[in-house]
Amino acid sequence: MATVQRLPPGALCLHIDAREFDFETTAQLEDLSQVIGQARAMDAIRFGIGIRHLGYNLFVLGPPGTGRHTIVHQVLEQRAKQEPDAPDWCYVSNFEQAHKPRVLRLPAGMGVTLRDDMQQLMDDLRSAIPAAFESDEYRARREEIEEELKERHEKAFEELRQRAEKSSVALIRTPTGMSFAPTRKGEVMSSDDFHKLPKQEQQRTEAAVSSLQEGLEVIIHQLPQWKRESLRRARELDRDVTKAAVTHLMDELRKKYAAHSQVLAYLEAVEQSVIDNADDFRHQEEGQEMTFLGIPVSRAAGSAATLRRYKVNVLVDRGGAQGAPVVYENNPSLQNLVGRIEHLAQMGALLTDFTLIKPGALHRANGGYLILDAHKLLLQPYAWEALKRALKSHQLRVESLEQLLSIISTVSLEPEPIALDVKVVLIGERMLYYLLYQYDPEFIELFKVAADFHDDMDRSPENHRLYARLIATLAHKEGLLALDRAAVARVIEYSVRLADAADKLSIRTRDIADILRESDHWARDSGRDIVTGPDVQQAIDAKIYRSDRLRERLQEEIRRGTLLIETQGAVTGQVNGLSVVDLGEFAFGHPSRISARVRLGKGEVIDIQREIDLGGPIHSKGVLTLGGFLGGRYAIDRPLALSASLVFEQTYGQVEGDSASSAELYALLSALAEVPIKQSLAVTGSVDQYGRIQAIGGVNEKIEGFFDVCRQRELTGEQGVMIPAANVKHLMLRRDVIEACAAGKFHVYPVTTIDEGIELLTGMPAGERDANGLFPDATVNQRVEVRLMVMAEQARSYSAAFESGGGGQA
Amino acid sequence: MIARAGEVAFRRILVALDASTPSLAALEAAATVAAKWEAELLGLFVEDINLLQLAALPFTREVGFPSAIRRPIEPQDIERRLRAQARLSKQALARVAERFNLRWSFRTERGQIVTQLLEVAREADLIVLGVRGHRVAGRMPRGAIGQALMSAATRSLLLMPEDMRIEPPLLVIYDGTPSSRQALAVALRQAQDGLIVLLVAAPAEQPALAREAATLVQDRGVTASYRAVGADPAEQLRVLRDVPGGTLILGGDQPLARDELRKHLLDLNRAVLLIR
Repeated sequence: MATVQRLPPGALCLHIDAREFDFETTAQLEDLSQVIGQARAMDAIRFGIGIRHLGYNLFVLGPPGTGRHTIVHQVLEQRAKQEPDAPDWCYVSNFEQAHKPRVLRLPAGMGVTLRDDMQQLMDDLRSAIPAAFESDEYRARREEIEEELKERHEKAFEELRQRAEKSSVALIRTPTGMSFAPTRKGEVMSSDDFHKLPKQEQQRTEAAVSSLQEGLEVIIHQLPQWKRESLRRARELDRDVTKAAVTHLMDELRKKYAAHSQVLAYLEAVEQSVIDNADDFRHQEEGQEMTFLGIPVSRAAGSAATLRRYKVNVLVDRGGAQGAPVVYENNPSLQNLVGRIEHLAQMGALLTDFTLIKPGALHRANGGYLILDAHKLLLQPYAWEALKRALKSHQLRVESLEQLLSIISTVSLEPEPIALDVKVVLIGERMLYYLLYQYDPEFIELFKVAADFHDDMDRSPENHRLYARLIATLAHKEGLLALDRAAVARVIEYSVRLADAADKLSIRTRDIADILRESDHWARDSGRDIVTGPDVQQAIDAKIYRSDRLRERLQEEIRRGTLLIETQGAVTGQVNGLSVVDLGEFAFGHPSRISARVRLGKGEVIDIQREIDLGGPIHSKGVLTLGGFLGGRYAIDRPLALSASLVFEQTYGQVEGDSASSAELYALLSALAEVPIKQSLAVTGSVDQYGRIQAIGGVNEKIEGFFDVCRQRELTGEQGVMIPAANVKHLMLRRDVIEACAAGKFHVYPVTTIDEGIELLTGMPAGERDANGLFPDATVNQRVEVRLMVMAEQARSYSAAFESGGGGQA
Repeated sequence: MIARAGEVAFRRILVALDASTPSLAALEAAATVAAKWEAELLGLFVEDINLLQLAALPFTREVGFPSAIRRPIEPQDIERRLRAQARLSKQALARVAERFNLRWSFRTERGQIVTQLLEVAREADLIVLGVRGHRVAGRMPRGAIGQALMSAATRSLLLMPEDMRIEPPLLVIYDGTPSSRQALAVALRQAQDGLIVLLVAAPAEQPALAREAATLVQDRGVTASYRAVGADPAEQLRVLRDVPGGTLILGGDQPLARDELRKHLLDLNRAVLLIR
């Protein structure tokens, strides 16, 4: 029997010797200028932002806390400074189609200048145009036009009146019009008098009246036409006067913006509009707000409102900024991405115009870089689709959710789309990347570059030094006290524990920064001006203490005997398994009793956890593997006439993972061989169908969990934990555990096979097949095999008896 | 009924009513004056004989304005329309009189409008007549009755454009004649606050005229401003077109009230009170 040797204390934890560092405190260390441990991701980011082809947006994937945001920001900021200045974007009125505002792309800073110039122009026009219309010249010409119309009217009516007079007929006003009637001495002739006239005279009068009525009709018909002509001439006059007032003001602007054809075209349209709408400048209600029932109505009505159309809505102002923009949008909702069109409530109606278009993050980042959190983006309704639409079409349209969904139907705008030239950097977890890759065909077209962030890096003396500088940099940036060498060594040990591997260092800078901040707090609390090793330890202990209420509760229940865990003696078919509870920031291990019972059956291993839907698929996989092992080792040429049941005692929640499969197999072998298992040992490790023990996660927490149970009952020197040998490199145990091991009061055994493990647990040799293919006597394997042979024989007998008994009963 | 010579008093005010917008403006103005003078309102609606006779002629047609649609005129329609107008006029008079707390009476007469107005005006001190503003096409229908009354009436006459009110500051042309003194007296009685006195005199006589006017004004405690104008009526008309202010009060013997000039008063687009 080959005995498994317990691990020496030195193998249980990595100890960083502070003496390997040649500095006293981190204050002496230079800040890190480069990113450590992320060479692959850095290359990918540089490639992604360097390549200028379409679709080469980036997805930065990796676990949170690895400094993805900081690194991406740094790299992008450096790059953006060297790039050409991004332009300003403005929306201005479209005078032909008011609901389709036009966009202006202007050099950085020119948007605000144009806006101010237009404001000044409006101020100037507000005084210049009324002044032009108050001139004597204008008045005289206007009166001339009105007088002409008046004369035309008078002439027409006078001629008609004279014609009437010649026939002794008068034009009479009636309540709703006019009429003609024969008169005598200035009065309308009565009917009787008229009929007394000679017939010929009557006929002549009637004919005259009829003719005059026709003439009157013609005149009345012509009145609107004359009026229109007069108005047209008045309008032409107004246009001439306005143009004279406007042109010289506009000329100054045209000269200023001569190099910008878009602005010139806009100024041309403004001039035309001002000339067409000169009345807006002539009749102003400045200083008084119109109200209706106490509600202000001046915005939509009145000249002040109409003058809004000459404003310039500077959507993006890059004045004073250098290079390309780098924008991070913390709340990437649809509207925060693509902008929005605001409305004003006016007498119960919602009104808007181009001045109410507000920019989104894509507007602000246009010409540069936009950083978004993938998770936040995907949580926002319609935002992901809108982003993809914009990136695919290279156009940025302001889309309102209400219109997308047709929730409200109100007067709204269709602003001219803006040409989009932006590189989007999505930051998210790996799972999101792979899900998007799998399920969204457009994703890979648009995000061709993946920058995968590690969460650990190799441990080496060189990397220790780099890590010390990382610690120094973080402390410096956060304004924390410097750390002495011992503190740095302790932080690195903590980092190794976070990495869950003794040969790795965690580069989750968030966690490291947290522990540095907390160490700083404890150091200051103790009145020190430097962070020492004990401060770091206190920070780690305090952090655990804050989170381990649940662990304490479990330990307490074990101590009180509510949760049954034995730590001495030996029991058949029962073993101490180990599991880990992960609370996110904090994980702890605790033992669970696993028991196995066997009986005659059809070769199935029943996992009670799975039967009641409390076992996860990986756990079930582990249990089913056991059947493979038993059949393959003990019952190749005969049926496995076994029915075994396995259960995690006193667990009432979901059990997942296969790290207990070796423990379950030990319990099963113990039950079959009827050999008791030492309860002073706990077991972790998964097993394959050949009985080889495989690595598991959370090994440190599991060992510490069983250690805590044993310690509170008194360490006997017999107690210990069997772990997969492959997990030895992950060991980074607590100091108290290491001290107990060093004192021989607790042991950690690395196990590679089931045979090694069962020997350790039972004290009985496992046994290997001899030349005849038989296991030696008094070995666990022999006892198992014999038991299974007996069961197979019993099964055969039962089957035969059942068949013959069935036939003889006729 | 009539005050003694040189003094004007309005005790009975005749207002011509036909339910039209100008006549309602005239009614409002008449009530304003009546309230000031504690006078009685006498409303008169004249059934225009010309209209009735026009309708009785078989061949006459009405040409709608501004529709230019030619349609027959039936006497019974005109009768009905006149009755309705009379009723509406009476109701309007009653409402206004009640609002101003005035005594009032109303009567309907049939005949020529001017003739009937002049006839009934013998019982009154002041005739109030609404005149149309600028909206009516051409000059023909506008102000014909007003002009006729200005020529023929022996009583004071107030011509009210439809969109005007009696409001301060009142305007008076003062040239020192008894007629202008009468006008000033009426203005001082009517004006609550604010009076513009246009002084007509040769430059040398202006200080004396101003003192004279100021004395009259101060006696009544009214705030007045003074402005000199030339004796030329054309200049006076020009000043009257530009100067701010409301109703013009003019003595019946003053030059502007003479035959050849008074037609221009209707073009001033302000209310004119002619004192006789």
